[in-house]
Amino acid sequence: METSRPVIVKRVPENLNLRQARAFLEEVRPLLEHDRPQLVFDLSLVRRLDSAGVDMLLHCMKEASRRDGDLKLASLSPQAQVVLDLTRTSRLFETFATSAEAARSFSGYLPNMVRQFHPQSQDIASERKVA
Amino acid sequence: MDLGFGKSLPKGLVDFTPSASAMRGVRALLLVGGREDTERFAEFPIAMLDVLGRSVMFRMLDRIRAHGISEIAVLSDTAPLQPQPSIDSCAFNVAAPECFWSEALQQFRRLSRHSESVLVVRLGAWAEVNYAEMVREHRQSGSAIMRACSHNSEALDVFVISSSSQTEAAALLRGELRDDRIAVAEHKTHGYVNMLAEASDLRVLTLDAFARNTELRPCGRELRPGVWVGKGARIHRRARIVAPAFIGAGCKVRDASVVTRGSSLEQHSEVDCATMVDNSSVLPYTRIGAGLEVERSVVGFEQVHSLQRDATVKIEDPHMIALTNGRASAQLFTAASWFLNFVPNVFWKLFFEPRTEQMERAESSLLDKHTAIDDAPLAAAESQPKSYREMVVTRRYGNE
Repeated sequence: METSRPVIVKRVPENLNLRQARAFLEEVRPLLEHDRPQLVFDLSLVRRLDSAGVDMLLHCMKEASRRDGDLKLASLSPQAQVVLDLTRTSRLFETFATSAEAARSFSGYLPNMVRQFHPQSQDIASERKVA
Repeated sequence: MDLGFGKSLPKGLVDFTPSASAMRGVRALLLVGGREDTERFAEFPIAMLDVLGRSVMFRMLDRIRAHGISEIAVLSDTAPLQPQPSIDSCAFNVAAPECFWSEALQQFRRLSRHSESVLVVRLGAWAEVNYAEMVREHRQSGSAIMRACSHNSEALDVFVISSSSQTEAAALLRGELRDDRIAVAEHKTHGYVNMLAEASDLRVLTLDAFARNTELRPCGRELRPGVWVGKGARIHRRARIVAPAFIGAGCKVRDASVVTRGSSLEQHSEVDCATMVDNSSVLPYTRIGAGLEVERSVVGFEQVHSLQRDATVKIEDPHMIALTNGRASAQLFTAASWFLNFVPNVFWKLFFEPRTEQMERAESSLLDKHTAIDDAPLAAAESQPKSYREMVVTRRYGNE
């Protein structure tokens, strides 16, 4: 039986340079080490974001997806949005206008759903072959 | 089209050959700045920034000269970014913002001593006013002050002031050219007008220049139709330049980068490897780092103004946006210090350094199996070339 897991919303600090990114990563590391972590980073406060900060976000997403979880971004400040666009990373993250929306988006995702959909996708493939 | 000595000329070319008598006794005062709240990008007046190889201020100076006015005084609240030859032949003054308008009045009084009228232009807006026509209308109307306005009745900071009307001129300049109580006659212009109030207007002016909607022309050699390249620009053979585009003097466009959709790289700017510059203006002495995507933006002085997001962001990371030095000696010094740092590092990594932990971790993260892939029903997913997880890893190292 699949039970709902908590969605953790974390507010990202105003400055996300190398030093701050390391500190933030240490803070969220225990959350990333959970089984199937469901994380939302709220970037509404972010005013300065550099390549180290972007790298940290990618690292967190990689770690989350390794454990079958996901990381979503919410309430992006214009500054954060511009830097993510500039580094071509905005397309890698799922972004939401508010943290609540991002948290709600997790409820539609259950790992068992992938297994349920899998036979269907096989059927579609066999139909295509017949066609 | 009449190709004789008639009035009709190809679009974009304006006949600036007024009769000598028309502009006799007219002097010009060119004001740059004077508004601290608007018309600036990174603390610089937009009029001082380059558009297709030459700043708006110098282009306006050339334009006034082309109308037959030789005696021009320039007053700015900011020092120009770099000296240019045309500045030598006119009086150039820099005044502190708090005494800008009083200094402007002093300059006006000096110019009006031996002249019939003074043309006062504030940048501000790029307005293609026919000054000869305006001066002629001013003489005929007999008014003390005549102000130009655009075809949609937008007031422009272009005035012709009679030298005898000192009181009105003083009131106008003390009111920072914004006092509505002073009676002025209006001259409607049908030329191109761009208010240059914000960075997005600079982008519009560049695109209009490419489309030949304005008199502005790129300063450089047209290598291919729609691609202009300035003196000393270096473009890597694998870089892609899509017309219309402008690569300014001393620019560097490195391997696998793309400059497209009306982008302009102003003098001594650099675009590093695999970076895409799309529909953007890169201001002088700006270096854009590797693997980035600059789209619908104005970039310069360690700032990015995104037209898409309508936001200006200061970038302090030199890997992304940095300032370059236009001087050859400084460039040589930077290159030499980089080389002296790079070569020992390469030798150390090749012959002495053991495999680092980071490399091993990177390899293991690419090779180890995902927990979801291990499940029997999803075994087919393993054969897919790029899972979500791998895509992130590839992008990350691709950027590096």
